[in-house]
Amino acid sequence: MKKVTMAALAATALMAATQAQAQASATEPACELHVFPTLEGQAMTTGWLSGFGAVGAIAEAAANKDRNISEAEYLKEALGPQFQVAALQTIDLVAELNLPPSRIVYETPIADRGITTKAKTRLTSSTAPCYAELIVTQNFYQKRAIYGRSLNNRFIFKDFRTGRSETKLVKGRGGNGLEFFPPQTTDETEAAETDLRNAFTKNFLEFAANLD
Amino acid sequence: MRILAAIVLACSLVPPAALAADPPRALAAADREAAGGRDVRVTLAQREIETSFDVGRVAANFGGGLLDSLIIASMDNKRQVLSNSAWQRAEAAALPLREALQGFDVDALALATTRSALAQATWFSPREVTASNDGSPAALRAFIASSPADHLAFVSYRYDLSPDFTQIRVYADLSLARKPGRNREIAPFYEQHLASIVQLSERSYEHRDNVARWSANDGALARTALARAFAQLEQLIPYALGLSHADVNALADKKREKVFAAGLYGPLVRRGQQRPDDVLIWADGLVYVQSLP
Repeated sequence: MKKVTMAALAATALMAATQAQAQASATEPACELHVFPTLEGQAMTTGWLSGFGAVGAIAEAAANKDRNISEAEYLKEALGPQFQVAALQTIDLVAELNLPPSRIVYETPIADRGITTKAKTRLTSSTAPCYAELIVTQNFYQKRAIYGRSLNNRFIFKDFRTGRSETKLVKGRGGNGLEFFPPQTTDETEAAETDLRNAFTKNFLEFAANLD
Repeated sequence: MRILAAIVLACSLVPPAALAADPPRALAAADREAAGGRDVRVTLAQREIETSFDVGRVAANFGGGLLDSLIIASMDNKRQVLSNSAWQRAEAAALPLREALQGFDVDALALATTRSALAQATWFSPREVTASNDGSPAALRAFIASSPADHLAFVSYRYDLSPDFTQIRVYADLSLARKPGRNREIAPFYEQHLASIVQLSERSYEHRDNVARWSANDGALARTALARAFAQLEQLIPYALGLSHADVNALADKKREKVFAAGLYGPLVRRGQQRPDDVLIWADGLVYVQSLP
């Protein structure tokens, strides 16, 4: 799917979600799953020099400084909220999280990690009794000398179906290798972005598979 | 552990003056009195809506030791470069909104809001309320020097777009002080921070889509949002000025029910004052959040 189409789909998802919150149809499922993508995009490249003590670590940091900046910028763009949503829309999110039929509401990302990783209460004004939240809290690209390139994501699942106003935060992660990201030429851009989104989806599926 | 040791060492080198407590967030009864009245200075030191950005966490590749970690940290400007880039993108995206808001007199709105808000606090005794776009220390000193009143009040406004451009936020910082003696710095005995946030009802992950919504029809939604935000501050200012120390402690109490609104998470003060989804929370000050219909 083309980048523009994916982005438009995701942007539409958020727009539809905000409208739907105000006027939920009677035919929609009573349960709600609220999904919060992340604004984060971290990148870190380390090479062989990092294994050579303090001097190696300093040389390594200097050598990869610009690369880490450009790759973080690229990652933020290529796996921004709209693309995370588009990636999650390719799978049956509700089934993967073992939820009953639920209306999925894509929310605005929350920048403050103090909220996303600590708040035990609901992060929306919804009062639906059957209610859950999925929060993406990390988007981290790494390139290491031995292990190669990978995308790591962290997720939090909050299930409020117990009826309590506070719930536990079920935290977990997923990590998968990358083959084409970051692209070396503009011709590889599409393959790199597909690679990135596929890794993101696999990371979520790893996380979901480990949920009780 | 070594990084922790470096942080502890750095903290121990912070001068005691930097750790001085902020002025109280509530007024003592005696401090409400202002014989001869208060001169009020309203500052809005911006000519157009500001932007904001959030680059989130930036990965840092620290070495294994204290020395190399400090050296790497000193040459690491990733956050600054990413921030510059995010700021430039935000500024470019906000241009249509700035054009749409041309001619919208936010200065007048700020002045009218302040006058009306202070009139509701009957004990406040505002003498003269003057507005300025100059927030510099020199302008502040000039105001203090020229004021014949012994009691001074400052209301500083700022307004901006949230990092995702889905909110227009208006901030008001209040402070009260006695006129200092010659060659002395002003020392406020009261400070309070207020924020009034208006959210788009239809939000997009794309900055430009949100700007397009705010800007459509000559900035109709943005103008409405600013008017609503200031109208709410008109209520919040006298409410904040009327809070006692016990009230502030109760509002900031960690055991109080907490809610999330507009990217903030804090103790709930009240809900649905004007519309069902409106919420007033305490997040290092009073924050009122409302959504456009």
